[in-house]
Amino acid sequence: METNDMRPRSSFDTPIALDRDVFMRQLITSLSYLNEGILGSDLAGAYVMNTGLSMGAAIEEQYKAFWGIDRPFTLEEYAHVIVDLKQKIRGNFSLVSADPDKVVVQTTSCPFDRLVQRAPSLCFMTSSVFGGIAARNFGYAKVVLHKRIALGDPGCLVTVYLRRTPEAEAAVGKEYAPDVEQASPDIAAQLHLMDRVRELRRALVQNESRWEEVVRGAVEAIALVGPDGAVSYANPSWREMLGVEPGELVGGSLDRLTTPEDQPRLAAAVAGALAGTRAVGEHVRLRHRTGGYREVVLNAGPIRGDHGRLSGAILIFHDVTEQRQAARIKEHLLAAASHEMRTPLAAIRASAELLQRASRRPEGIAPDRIAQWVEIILRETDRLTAFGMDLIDTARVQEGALRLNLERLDIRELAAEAARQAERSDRPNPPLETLVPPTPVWVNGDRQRLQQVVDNLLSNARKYSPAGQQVTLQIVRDAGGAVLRVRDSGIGIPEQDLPHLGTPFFRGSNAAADAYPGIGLGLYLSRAIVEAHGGTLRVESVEGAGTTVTVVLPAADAAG
Amino acid sequence: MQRGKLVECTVLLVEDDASLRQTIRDVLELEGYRVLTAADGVDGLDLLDREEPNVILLDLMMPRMNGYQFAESLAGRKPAVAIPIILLTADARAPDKAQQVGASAWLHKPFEIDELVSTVERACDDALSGS
Repeated sequence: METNDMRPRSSFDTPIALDRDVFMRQLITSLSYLNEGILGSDLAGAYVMNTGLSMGAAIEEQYKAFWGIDRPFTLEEYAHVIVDLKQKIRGNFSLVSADPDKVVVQTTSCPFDRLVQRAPSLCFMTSSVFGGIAARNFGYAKVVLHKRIALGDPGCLVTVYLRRTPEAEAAVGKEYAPDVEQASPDIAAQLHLMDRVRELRRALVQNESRWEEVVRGAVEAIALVGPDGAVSYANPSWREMLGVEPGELVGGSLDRLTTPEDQPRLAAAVAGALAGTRAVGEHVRLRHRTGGYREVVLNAGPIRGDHGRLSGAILIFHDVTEQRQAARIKEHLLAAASHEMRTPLAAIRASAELLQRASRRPEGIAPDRIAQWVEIILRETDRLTAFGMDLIDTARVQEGALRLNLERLDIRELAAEAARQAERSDRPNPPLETLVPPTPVWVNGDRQRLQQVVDNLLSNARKYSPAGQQVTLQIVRDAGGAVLRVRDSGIGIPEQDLPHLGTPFFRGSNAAADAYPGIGLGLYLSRAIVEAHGGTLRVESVEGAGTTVTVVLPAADAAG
Repeated sequence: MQRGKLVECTVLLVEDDASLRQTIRDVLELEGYRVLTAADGVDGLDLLDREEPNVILLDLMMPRMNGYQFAESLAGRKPAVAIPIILLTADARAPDKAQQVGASAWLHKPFEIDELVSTVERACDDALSGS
């Protein structure tokens, strides 16, 4: 709703504390500029806005506060204001005379020729300061402008009548009422506008810097593209994700960062976003500076400019390489597990069917056969159970959640247990030789888990060894700690495979993937268990000659 | 029905898993087949030197010499070995694997006894009828 009230509206709540002298100078400087329509200092404008006063009233208030008075000015004080203003503003006016009836001021740059026919309110100083202050303090003011008579003298004389004398009545000029703020409507409007512009600009800068901070600080690699698909901005995270300087991306297309297979989808997502359609969850690979690829998920969306017009697109790339790898390992784990379970399941199923047939027609079946089939079912079930536990252990290791029950343990007992099991076993094992010292070798360990490690290492040694060849389990205590060593003379491991051991599912290149039993979890779990104990597991091997696996555990104190 | 008894068919079973080896042997023997067993490719080849099985039941995943290597070795023998091979596999890609080793049939673990028997029977028929 339109209102004629042109008084400036306040938009700042915080009062401004500063040196009065400085403030006054600024305030007055603003006034001098207002003559030319140039808007003045922020502080002055802010003050005016805040108080809702006109410039003149603001000046009056400042002087009164500075002098510590709250009554109307005396004539001397009023005159002093004028003189002081001139000094502060290096103004173009000067006091000529002051008496109880009138004060005369001479100005040198007042564009009199333009103003002579117009109301004095257009000359701001005259109206607001001289006229307004006079009216409020003396109860009456009339401002009259005269052109100076003397030739060659630019400017004008300003007479401010302070009393309603006949001379005042007769003069042609503008009369000011004491109770009305005399701020020029134009100037008030300009001040208001200036204030709004300032506010908006500050908000815009703040807003932009806030959003810029968000984009700069994002973990994701973000790129803005223009309507032509060229990158106009890339945030710093490209450095982290691909080892690429953001600056290098600007001006180019992101197509060159991806694989030929992924290029069509990336291009389609970008084109779609530029056309106004969001693309969510597009998986692409992006090339790292070092040559490898990172797997990323792309979310692309349009950017709209004025009036909702499409002006570009924002592309957000989220690196999911580690998650994808973990997911792939899990998939592989499941597939391999399913594969691995099938042989025991086949034995169990066949045995169960045989028992079923035997129960229907028991004649012709020897009783010890029945016992054997039952034994097979039990044994294979145990095997599957152990396998299932290995899978869970693997998942736990992957998540860093492997738990140990530590006790003071003499690792010679692990060798003794392994020897006992070897004797009991009815499978055609190669002989197991155990070499242990005469004195205990103490560690703080989880007995069950460490036995698991020993069993696994021995199992590997047997599996990859020719039947009949000896496997050695040796325990020593040396400077490095408690050492457990398993040696075989089997097929060995090619040198290029050695660094990859202990990766889940890894099986050496000399054991064709389908051909050797087991899904390669054993060594992975063994290493994880050993490392959880603060130990190390090292594999040395010569292809065709044999393998030695050395486990070193931190030794526990002899005391106790 | 014990077909094996009519005309004796000898099956060579090459499988490293002891439990599965025993159950397959028991099933086939109860059906009247004569069964020879080997725990890996090496033992399998040894047996072939001394015996003449009519059908080979072959596992792939074995230590020392696996199923692929065994089949290759067979293929390289002179005179050529024409014994039909039935592949035992846990792999879903059984048909491809069968082709790779030159098998004429396959069994996907775990299998039913009937499946095992009828597959062996068919292979025996083919072998003994000379086709």
